[in-house]
Amino acid sequence: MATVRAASCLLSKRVLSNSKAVPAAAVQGYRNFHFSIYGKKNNAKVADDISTQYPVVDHEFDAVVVGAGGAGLRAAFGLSEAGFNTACVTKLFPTRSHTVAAQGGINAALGNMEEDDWRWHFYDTVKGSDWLGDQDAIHYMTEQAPAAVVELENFGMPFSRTEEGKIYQRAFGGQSLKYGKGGQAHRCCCVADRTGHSLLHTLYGRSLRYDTSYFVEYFALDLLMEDGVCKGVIALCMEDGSIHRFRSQNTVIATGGYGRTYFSCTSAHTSTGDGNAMVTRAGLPCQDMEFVQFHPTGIYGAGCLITEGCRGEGGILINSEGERFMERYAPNAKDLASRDVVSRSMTIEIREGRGVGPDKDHVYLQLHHLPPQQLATRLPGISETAMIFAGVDVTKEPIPVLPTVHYNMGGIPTNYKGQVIDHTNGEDKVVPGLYACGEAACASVHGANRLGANSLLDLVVFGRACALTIAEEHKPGEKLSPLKPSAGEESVANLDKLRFANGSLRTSEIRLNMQKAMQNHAAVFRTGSVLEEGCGKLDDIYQSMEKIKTFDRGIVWNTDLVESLELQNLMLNAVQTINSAEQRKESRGAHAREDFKDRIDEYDYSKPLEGQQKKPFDEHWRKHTMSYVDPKTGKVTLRYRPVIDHSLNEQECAHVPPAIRSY
Amino acid sequence: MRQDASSCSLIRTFSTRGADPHPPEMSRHSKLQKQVLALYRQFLRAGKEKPGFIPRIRDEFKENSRIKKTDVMHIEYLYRRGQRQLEQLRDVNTKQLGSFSKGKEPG
Repeated sequence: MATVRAASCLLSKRVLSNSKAVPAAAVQGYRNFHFSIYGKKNNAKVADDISTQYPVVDHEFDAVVVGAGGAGLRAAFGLSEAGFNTACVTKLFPTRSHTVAAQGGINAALGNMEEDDWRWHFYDTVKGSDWLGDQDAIHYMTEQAPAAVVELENFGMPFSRTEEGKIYQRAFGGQSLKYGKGGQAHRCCCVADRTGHSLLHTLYGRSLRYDTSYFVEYFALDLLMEDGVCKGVIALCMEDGSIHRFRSQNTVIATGGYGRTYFSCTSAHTSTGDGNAMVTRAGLPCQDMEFVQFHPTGIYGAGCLITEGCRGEGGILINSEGERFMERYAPNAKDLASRDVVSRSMTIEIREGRGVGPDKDHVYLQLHHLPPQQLATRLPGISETAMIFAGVDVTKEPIPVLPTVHYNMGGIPTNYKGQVIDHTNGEDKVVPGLYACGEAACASVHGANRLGANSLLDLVVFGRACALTIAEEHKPGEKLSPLKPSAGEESVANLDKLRFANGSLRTSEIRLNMQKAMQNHAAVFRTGSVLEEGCGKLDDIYQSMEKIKTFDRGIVWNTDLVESLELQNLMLNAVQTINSAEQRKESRGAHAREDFKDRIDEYDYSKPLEGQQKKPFDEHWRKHTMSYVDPKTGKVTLRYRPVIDHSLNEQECAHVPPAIRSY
Repeated sequence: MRQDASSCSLIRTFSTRGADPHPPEMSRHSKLQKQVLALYRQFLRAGKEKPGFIPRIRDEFKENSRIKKTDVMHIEYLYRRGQRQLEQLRDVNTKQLGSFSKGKEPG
């Protein structure tokens, strides 16, 4: 038996020299699966009764983009514009991606409402990230912001306008003038309160001008990695159950976040962190997974999002005493403080007994003091959302809100150019052939906390950056490096195992267990003992995946199978999140620990720096977490990587040294 | 793809202008049958240059020939799906068809 295996291993090492060559023989592989060219049964070793056969279509492209949301579409048509033969593989129709749900706006220092400078935006973003953001990437993003917004406007995005016809910019959380000393800045360009919807539809419309090949309703299973180089993606066509391998020199991951690891979130059911999981299974790290943003105003009960733009237009948060409690927690910015500050303040108010409702477990967002005309022009979408999901008329009553999981600051680590990196031997090393952008990536522009309206900016800037980097480093029509004929076998074996799974627990049960565990143990405020208990529970739930049971044995439109694959992806994201959170013994940005209330940097920035000893790397926490998971056991390994503190050009834009963060 | 004898309804059409080109056991193909045959032909032509497609095309059509000719909804659905798959097959970036098979241990 072992000798047969060894012999066939030798067989499989016969690597193809020509990318178009056809393997003549069947190659023995992983767990009883073997690859062969369809129909060629000339190898005596192939058994007579093939119990299950998965046809695999091979495609070759110059670049493959996984995900067709804001970032994916921008990268895809950026690449097509540069002449690359591009494929865009997406499990949803492009206009159904979660980008469509974004409400608030895009930050850019256009200076339409008052004098503005992108360096002030840079300062606000670095401060918002609690000095965990990489300042070179933030420099890149904030400098490109005005050009990105003007480009969108030229694509036809219907921004709201001022009286003079310029793009209307509203106030948004965490935005200030003159490096925090000049009061509230108005730099969030918006389309009423439906910016994400307009952005996605504009990008989709624009993308149709180029000849990108769209593979819609194809679920990407795994990356095709060989010798640490990414050579493509393997995906399942949901319509007919065929497997497709997309070979390419350049793969861009833009698959979005993983809000669905939590019970209550503002994310779509399809936000399942597929890209993060694919990268984890390839043995690469994910960065800063413990930083999960709780948006202050999600509707109580339904979890639907009420944009920060409401507070930007003048809405206020009130407790059971009718008090505008944010004045106590953030005297300057008040309701427009950074989101983590507001979420924590709301949670403290509720804990101290000043919550509203029969259970006193939420607060109110009051908008009825604003002129109804303003509500109708600037906030029509949320007016309707509040009526449908909370039964509230915003011109008369306040909306019941609660902090809800909204965004994942963590994800696939990249440099400012969008290339995926791994941190080995104290240095950042680029993974050849792999890029990431959007919420799935962690560039890291958002650090420990994201400012509102920076995410849509992140999508378009880094989507374009990935396309530009690829265009710089490669040419269209480059020859593909050879790939093992049986590449992707493990993914198909896993698919087959899930398709015929016959354990004792349904997918929905395991998913609910995971969501409840995450919601209870890794919430706004976290404590060591609760996190540890959560890690234990998540580990048990991870092991319980062995007992999964699926019901649909077919291969065409098998949503049971796809949901189980998504659950596998969610589990990998969840274990990384909770383990990273348990290990990080400080409070920074969105990660607030009750037992470690302070931020632990290399110096104590609340005191003057002279005379202070710089703490060694192991003793402070101003560093990125890099988490690896062994998919078989669910064991998480953590390493750390330093934050990049220099900007791209110190003359143009000086970096911001750390300081105490208060609003 | 021909009708099986058991389900053919014998409409004997005797042309007065000469011998009927279709023998009595098989009536003329219906419009849907002609469309499916045309699709099959297009598939075979498109799949000629790319390894692995022809056997699969034959297998699929053979498998689906078992569908009763009265089950028009099903046939039309498969026909539409086939058209999309044909477009993909014709695309220059599609290179070959392989298969991952799970079988018994070789021995």
